[in-house]
Amino acid sequence: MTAKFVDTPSVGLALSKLLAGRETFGVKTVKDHLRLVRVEPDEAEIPPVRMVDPLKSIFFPPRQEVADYFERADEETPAKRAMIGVTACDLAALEVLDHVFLGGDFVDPFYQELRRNTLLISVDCTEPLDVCFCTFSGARPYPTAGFDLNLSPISGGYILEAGSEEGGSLLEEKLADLPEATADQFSERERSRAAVTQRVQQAVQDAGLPDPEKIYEKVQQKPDAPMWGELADQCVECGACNFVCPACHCFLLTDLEEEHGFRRFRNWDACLYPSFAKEASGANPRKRRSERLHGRMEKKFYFLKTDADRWGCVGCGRCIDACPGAIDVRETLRKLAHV
Amino acid sequence: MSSNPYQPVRTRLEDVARETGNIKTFLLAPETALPFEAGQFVQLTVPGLGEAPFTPSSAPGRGERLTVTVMEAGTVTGALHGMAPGAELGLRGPYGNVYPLDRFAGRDVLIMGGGVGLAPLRSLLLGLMQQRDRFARIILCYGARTPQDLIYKEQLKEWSRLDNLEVHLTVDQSDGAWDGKVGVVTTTLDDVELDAAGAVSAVCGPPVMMKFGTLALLDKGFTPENIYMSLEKNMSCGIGKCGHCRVGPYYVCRDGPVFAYSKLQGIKDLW
Repeated sequence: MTAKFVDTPSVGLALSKLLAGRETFGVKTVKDHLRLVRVEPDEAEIPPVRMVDPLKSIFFPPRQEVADYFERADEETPAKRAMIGVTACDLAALEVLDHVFLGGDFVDPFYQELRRNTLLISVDCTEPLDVCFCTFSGARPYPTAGFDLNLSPISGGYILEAGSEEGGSLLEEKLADLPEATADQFSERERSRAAVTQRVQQAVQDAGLPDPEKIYEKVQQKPDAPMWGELADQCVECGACNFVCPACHCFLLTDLEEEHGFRRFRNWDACLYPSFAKEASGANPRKRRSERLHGRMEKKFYFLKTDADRWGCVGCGRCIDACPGAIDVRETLRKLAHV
Repeated sequence: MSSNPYQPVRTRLEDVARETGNIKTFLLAPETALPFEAGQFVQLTVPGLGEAPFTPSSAPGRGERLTVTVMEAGTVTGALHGMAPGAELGLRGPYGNVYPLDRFAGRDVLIMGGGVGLAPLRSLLLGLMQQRDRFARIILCYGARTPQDLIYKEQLKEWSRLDNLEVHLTVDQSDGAWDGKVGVVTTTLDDVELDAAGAVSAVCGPPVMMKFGTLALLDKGFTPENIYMSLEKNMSCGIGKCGHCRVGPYYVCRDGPVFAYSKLQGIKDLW
C-alpha cells in the first residue's frame, strides 16, 4: 500500500485536503482528557494513545432512532464522515461490532450506513497509559488492519500509510505531492513500534496477566468461584464498564408515542443492570450481581470467541478508569486464571 | 439502505378470546403476511409502548392471519389485554429456528406443556396434525394450576375425542367440577406407555415446569437429543444483536428458541 511522509507543520493541511467535504470527528484534549469530538480536520490532535470515549459511539450511538412506524421514514443519505485518531484497540473492538451488526441473517442498516460512510484515520500509540494491556491477546499498540489511513509519528513528521483501497486512492488523488516514505523512515517506525510494544508487554507481564485462552477455559469452568461474589461487593451495577467498553454492544429497543405516530429507539444497555436478563415470567437467570459479573466475562472471553472468533476485551483499560468501585479487569483476569 | 429489521408491519387485531382469568388469545392480521414454521416466534408491538416476543399459537403456514396466546405479565401484555378488536398493533418476524420435523418423522411424539406454555406447542401440534401420517403416535400431556387455568378448553375436548391423538390432562388443584387427574404435569407421564428411547418430545411451560418436565422426560427414558425445549428468555431485538437472550454460547432468538436438551446440558444459568 501507498505510504507518504508528511512533516509535522503540514499534517493539518494534509488532513484538510484529504477530508474536504466530510463531517469530521477527531480527538481533542478537554480538561486533560482525550475526548472524541466534532472537529475541523486541521484542528484534530494526533493522539499518542486511545481517547477516553469508545469509538463505537460514532457507529452505534448511545440512543438512535431505528424505526418510525407505521410510516417508513424517508431514507436520508448520510453525510460522508471521517474519524481522525483511532487506535488499534478501537479497531479491534470494531471487528467485534462488525460481526454483531453486519453478520448473521440480519444486517443492522443504521450501523452499516455509518460504517460505510466513515473514513478511519488511525494512529500508532506512542505513550501507552498505565491501564493499557492490549498486547495480552497478542495484539499490538499500532494498527495492522481495519483502517483507511494510518499516521505513524517519526522524526519531523508522520508516515501516512494507506490501509484500504479508498485510503490509497485518496492519498494518490489529494496528496500526490507528498514524498513517498523512505526505507529509513520505515525502519525508524519499526524501532519505535517495537519499543512501545515492549513497554506494553512489560506492563502485561508485571500485572501477571494470563493468556486469554486460559480465561476462555476458566470462565466456563468457574461460574461459582468465590471471586465473583468478592467482585460483587465492589460493583455498584452502574454499567460504566459496559458503556465505555468499545466492544460492548448490548442494547434495548424502546418505543415512544408522538403526535404523528410512533418511534423506536435503540439504546445502549448494560448486562450489569439487575433486570438485563429478567424474563416476563419473572424468572431472572442472572439475578445476583455475582452472576452478572461472571456473565460479562463469559460473554467476552467465551461467547464472542466462539461466535465471532474475537476476544470481547481489547485491553484498552477504559473500564479500569471508569469503575467507581475500583474493579480492575486485569485483577479479575489474574484471579480467574488461578481459581 | 438494507431493509430495516426493527420496523414493524402494521397489524389489525381482529379478535380477542378469553382463555383464563389472565390469558387471552389474539387473532392478528398483518398488512404483509408473516409466513412461519412451527417453533419460530414473532415480535408483537403495542404502538408507543414496546414489543414482546411470542411464538404463534396458530397452525404454521402463510401467516396472513395468526394467533398469539398471551398471559398478562407486564406493560406490553397488560396493554394488549386491554385492547379490543380493531386496534392497531405491529408485528415483525418470524425469527428463530423451527422444530426439526424430519427428525420427528416415523416416531412417537410426546408434547408436554404447562399453563400458557401450551400456546407455542399448539402451533406445533396443529402442524403435526396437518401431516399426521408422517408420525407414529402423537401424545399431548398438558397441565395447569386449576381447571380454570387450562387454555383452549374447547379444543382440548375436541382433541380428546380424536383417535389419532392421545390427550392426558391434569391440574395441580381440583375444583368441585373437575373429574380428571390431579397432580403436576409430569405425573401424566405415568399414564403413558411408550418406548421413550426412540421417541421425541417437545416441552414448554414456566421455568420450574421446564426444569422438572425435562428431568421427568429423561427419567422416562427420552434421550437428551430428543427432548426439544422452547425457551423463553428476555429478548429485545429478536435478531441476534442486542445481547439480552444469551444463554451460554447461544442467543435464544437466533440459535433457538427450540433447543434439544443435549445442547443445553451443563449451562449454569439455563433455568
